[in-house]
Order: sequence, then C-alpha cells, then structure tokens
Amino acid sequence: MHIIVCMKVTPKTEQVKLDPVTKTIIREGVENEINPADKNALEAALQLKDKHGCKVTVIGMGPPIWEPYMKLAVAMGADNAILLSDRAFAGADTLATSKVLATAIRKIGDYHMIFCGEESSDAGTGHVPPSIAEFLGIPQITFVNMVEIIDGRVRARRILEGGYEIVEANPPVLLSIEYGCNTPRFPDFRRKRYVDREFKLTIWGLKDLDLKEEEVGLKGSKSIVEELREMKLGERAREKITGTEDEIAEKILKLIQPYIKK
Amino acid sequence: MSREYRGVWVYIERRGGEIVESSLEVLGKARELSDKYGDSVVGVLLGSSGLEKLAETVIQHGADKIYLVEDPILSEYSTIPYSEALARLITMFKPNILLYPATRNGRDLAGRISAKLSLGLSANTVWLDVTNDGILLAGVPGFGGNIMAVTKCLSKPQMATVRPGAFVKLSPDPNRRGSIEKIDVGELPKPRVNIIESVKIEVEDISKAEAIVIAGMGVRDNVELAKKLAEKLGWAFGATRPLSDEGLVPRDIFIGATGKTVRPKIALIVGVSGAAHFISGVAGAEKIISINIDPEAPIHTYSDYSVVGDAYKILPKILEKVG
Repeated sequence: MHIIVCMKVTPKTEQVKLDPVTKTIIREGVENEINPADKNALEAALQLKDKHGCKVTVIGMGPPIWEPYMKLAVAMGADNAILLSDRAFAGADTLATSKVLATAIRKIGDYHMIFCGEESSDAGTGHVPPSIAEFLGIPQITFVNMVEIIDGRVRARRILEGGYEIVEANPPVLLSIEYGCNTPRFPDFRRKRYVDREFKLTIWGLKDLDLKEEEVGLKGSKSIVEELREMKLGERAREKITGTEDEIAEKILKLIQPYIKK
Repeated sequence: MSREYRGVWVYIERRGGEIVESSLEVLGKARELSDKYGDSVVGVLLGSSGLEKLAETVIQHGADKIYLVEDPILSEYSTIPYSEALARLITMFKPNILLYPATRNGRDLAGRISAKLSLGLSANTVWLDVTNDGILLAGVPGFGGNIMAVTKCLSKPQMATVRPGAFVKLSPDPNRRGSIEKIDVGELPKPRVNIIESVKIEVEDISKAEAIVIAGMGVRDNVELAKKLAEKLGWAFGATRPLSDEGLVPRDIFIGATGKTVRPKIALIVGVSGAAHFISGVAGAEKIISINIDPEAPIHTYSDYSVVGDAYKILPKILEKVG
C-alpha cells in the first residue's frame, strides 16, 4: 500500500505574531516545526510501513524554506518527499490549499491512503483534510486516533464528542489523525545520512500541476481576512484576598459556598 | 442587496433522536443576525424519519422554517450522503449564510461542502456580525488569542463553523410558529465508510458547567489536588492547554482559544498564568477567583478575586474546610 502524508510547517504557536498591515502571519524570526498533528500522521503511516511494508510519501505546500522539514520526514522513515512550491500558491485559504494538495496527489496517482493531521497548530481549521477528500472524490475518516489495515481494508477509531466510532472503509481513503495519538519517532541515523548525501527533494510548481493561476493562492481563495481586532479580554475588579493560607482558604470558601453542590 | 441568495441557514446536527445542543446556540445567533439585516432563519435537518418533532424544537429555538431531508441512508451521520444532500439543498435554495456547529462532524461536513461547491468557509468562529446588506463577518481568535481575525467569504452562501459555547441558545418559545418543508433531493450516494461500532462515553461537557475548577501548569505536580477539590465541590474540572499537551489531563477538557469555551457562574482558577488564548475561553464566566504564586501573572488582572499565593498549600486547606 502507498500512503501519502500531507504535511505543513507551522510557526511555533507561542511565537506567532500578525503583521497589522498585510494581515498575515509574520514568519521571520519565528522558529518553525512540522505541524504537531502532521507529525502524528507521519508516525501513524510509518507504523503501518513497519508492519505491512507500505510506501510512504510526504507532500507539503509551502515555500522553499520548508525543505529541511520535508527532509526530516524522510529521515524519520518516509520513502519520498515532494514540496509543492510556487509564488502563485502564496496566500491560499483552506480551499485553494486543498486544491493544490489534491491535484498533486492525483498526479502521484497510485495511492491507497492519505493521512493528514487533524488540524494545524496555526490556523486550526481542520478543513483541509475533508476538502482534499472531496476534490479526489474519495471517502474520509476524520479525527482518527488508531488505524489498522485488516485484509486490505482500513479500520480506524474515530474520536467524537462523548465517544468514538470504529469504522471501516476500502481504500483509497483519507484519514485525519488526532494530535498526540502516538509518539513520533526521532530521525534514524542511517536515514539521516542518506538524506544528507543522496536524497533529492522533488519540487513541483504551478506548471507541474494541471492548475490555472486563478485557482491557487490568494486568487483562488474564497475567504479573506478583512481586518484584525483587538479582543477585549474583560479586565475585572481584582479584589485581593490576603492573609495566612488558612485565612485565604476560609475567605475563598465563603465565596464559593453558595455554589457547592452536595 | 442581492435577492438571489436569501436566508440564514443553520445545519442542525443530530445524534440519534437528539439535537446536538451547540446547533441551537448557533441558531440563536442566526436569529440575531437575520433580524439585523431582515432575513429569515432556516434550520436544516437530515435523517431517516420522524424529524418533525425535532423540527418543532428547532422552531421554538428561533427558526422560521425547517427543511427536512428524509432518507434511510441519512439515519446516522456519514460524510458522503450528508454532504451530497446538503450540497443539493444549497444549490436548490441558495442561502445567503450557512452556519455549522464546529463539532467534529460539523467540521467534517463543512470542509467537504467547501470543496464540493467551491465555497469560502471561516473556521471555529467565536464572533459573528452581519452588515445591513447581509455580508457576514466572522471572527476567528488566533495568533496568541488577544487578536481576532475578522474573515469574510467571497462566495455565497457565506459559510462558517461556530465554536460550541461561543453563543447562548434562546429559551424555547412554545408559541413560536414556523413552517416545515420536506424536500426531495433525489437519490443519495451510499456511505463509503461503515460504522462497525459506536461507543458512547459519558464525559461531562465542561462548556455547560455552572461551576468549575481550572488547573494550569502552576499545579502540574499535583493536578489531582485540583481535581479532588472539583469533585468535592461537585464542580466540573477543566485545565489549560499546556497541561493537556503534557498528557496530564484529557484533551477534551482544555480551555482557551483552541479548546473549550466555558461560561460558568463561578470559576476557581489555580496555577494558571492567564495568557490571552486561555482567557478568551473563560471570559464569559460570571465570577473568577484565581490563585497564582506569581504576583505579575496576568491572571490576576482578569479575576474578580485574586490570591497571590501557593495553590499547593491553599487547596488542601479548602478541601479540609469543605469537609
């Protein structure tokens, strides 16, 4: 089986700031990482590779500075990595992003499963996985925290509010993998040496995909950030409670007393 | 205003014979938006049969009209038939706005519809407004939480998923009248994902809690202490994202911009520094009491009552006194 893992590189959440003029994320000076949920998706794919000998290809849509992260995925155990990179792709919303990823996946062709992280740590929409599945016309299983291949079928545990479902589908199928559902491995020393010495990252631009410039990037987007607003976070009275620990506990107790359920 | 696209639609999520609560919260907001620019609120309910009773509930909570699609294939949520049925409804009736609860299935569906009909979609919104000519403005918290990005869709219907807990549902009005229309959308494709087993786990939904103890990294060495206090008080227990990321608490109880929104009558917040992305999740609390050892921690500013002190020492005392 061939598993394609969609990957994004995200700025470390706590370092992110917005440019008030361009209304986009300021990426300069911010440390990046493989989007944490995508790393779990990659690990899930690699575990299936370990067990069943699947082939794993990683794809991502982003600027050339993503190269080391794509290579990191190969050092972790992916067989190949393709970076979809073109100035025309910039400024894409989830729709335009999904279209580029789906088109690249169609070009790769011989896939059985597509793994995505459930959502990204920066935008956090979670819309890209179902949108890719729709563009490819294949079923989707979102919010998965366990996946197996049984007799050629894909079986997954899908986490919902207040419960879960065990579901099955025939490939090709897309799965979005839950953040934190496994522990991503470290790069393998031999794989890392292979990446450093031999591996060549494949880069596809707009002309490599059968897409028009109007369909991708900012031009292909159907939602835009109109403006930024400061969130009013409601400062409060801040009445200070002081005293010994015992006195403080007593005062807090008095405040919470009416709400104690018993 | 363009008359071609009319109506504020809400996708009403259903599980078995019950309406998922957050759908009604979204409906309450839809009512307000619709009244603001003079449109009507339409609830969309998909299922196998017997949806009229649920439709009445939706009307009582603010809808003017319900579109029902009944088909045995729609008995339980499944992406392929549900997205096809909804897409056909959209194409038939051209709503101006379509809102979904940002539940897992709501997001599963909305992302699919976005690609199917090439529509813009704002995600996990916590703030919604509409202009006089029906343009939807959708606020997405992000980038640290103290900034809200106001997004706009360039296509119609304008779509957004709405974070559970962000809005309050209207009290049901048994005298409210509305129309219920069954729509034939034609033959639907079969599900391509089969549900082998569906397991319900009773977890308290903290977003509905009236009183809550919330723990942060400041009590990471004894999260149990805060949890025990919550139990003893009969309160819900919540936490911050870092505690959840460390695996010290389950993921469905973390509060903040990327997690749950709570609006309790009272919150006792211990060992939480009070970063903006956390505060946005508790801003709706009526009363906040906080304990943090760091006098500079921002949490104090957002509290009605604040203690600069050691939660590890104070919490056991409270436990003792509660008896």
